[in-house]
Amino acid sequence: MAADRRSSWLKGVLDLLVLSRLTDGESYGYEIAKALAEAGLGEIKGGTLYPVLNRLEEAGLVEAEFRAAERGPGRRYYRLTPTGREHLAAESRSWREFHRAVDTALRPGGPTA
Amino acid sequence: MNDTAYFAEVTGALAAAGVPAAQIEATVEDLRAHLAESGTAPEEEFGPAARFAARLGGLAPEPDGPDAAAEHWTWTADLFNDRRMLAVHGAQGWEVESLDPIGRFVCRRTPGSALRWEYRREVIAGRRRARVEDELTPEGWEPCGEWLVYGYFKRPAAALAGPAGAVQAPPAAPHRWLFLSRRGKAVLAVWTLLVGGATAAFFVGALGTAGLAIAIALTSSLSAVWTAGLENAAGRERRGPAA
Repeated sequence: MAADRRSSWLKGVLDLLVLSRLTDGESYGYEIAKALAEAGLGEIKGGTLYPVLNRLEEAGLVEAEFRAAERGPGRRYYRLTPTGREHLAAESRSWREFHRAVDTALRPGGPTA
Repeated sequence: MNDTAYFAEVTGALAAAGVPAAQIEATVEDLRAHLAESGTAPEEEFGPAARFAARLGGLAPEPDGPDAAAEHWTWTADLFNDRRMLAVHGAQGWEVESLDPIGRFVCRRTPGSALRWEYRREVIAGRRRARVEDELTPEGWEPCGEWLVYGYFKRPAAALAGPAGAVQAPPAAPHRWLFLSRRGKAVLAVWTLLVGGATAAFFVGALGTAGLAIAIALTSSLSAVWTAGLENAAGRERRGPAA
């Protein structure tokens, strides 16, 4: 039950979390998944991550560039677009407001405490 | 399934959805790079190939995503006719998204990238559910609705047919929404007769409100059981005598 709930929470903010991993520069799928795991968000499988990256690209929030590698298969690198950066800032504010409201409501005594 | 077979299936499904070859090639290479670092098997990392390709290539837009271009159609059939009609409409590119509370198939189809869909119906009552899902998921089937004890599963035909799984010239969305078989009509006629009788009895005062409600519930339950019984018998007939 707890894992299900955590998974639902993550689903609601995964696009923002992915965008947040690109604020310091470009990155690629596996590196993004690894960074999210290291941030304590659990293992994000490729089956979940890549459709999210595709949607972000279709929405113009990230740009992708495929680069061949000298050794082994090439990779697609993603970077934030200006629209993506604005979107991330606005949606992060919304999330923080929502988080504060939930946090207040869950405190002993509820929102009036 | 090994990496080669897995990515062949993904490639076929993406091609069927009209994704350009160069983009497919880059995508597959990128996914292979991911596996090289994660050390996982493709199915373990990305899930069943058909479903992953559908989510990846825009074949099946996210339920919450923009969906303005898609056609929508809701229809129903009786238990004797549902699998046949699902096969017919699945071949025309209709994807069942869910069954609504009154048992209608809620479908969508995306013009320009419609895929043929395959369907199957299984009894998923009680402990059978987990077993059925465990058996079907590795083959690319995913649940798309439930009705009474039945579970419906869908799979894009591209999972097996590759580019041939695309619908080339889908016919227009049908105006019709009800597809009853001969036996379905018979069951409905009996139900209407009994419920009509109970309603008449209610209006002449021979039956109270509670009595009418019980009569309708009882008639509906018996009709469902009768229908399921007839369908099971028909299924046994189709399969022939047990060896």
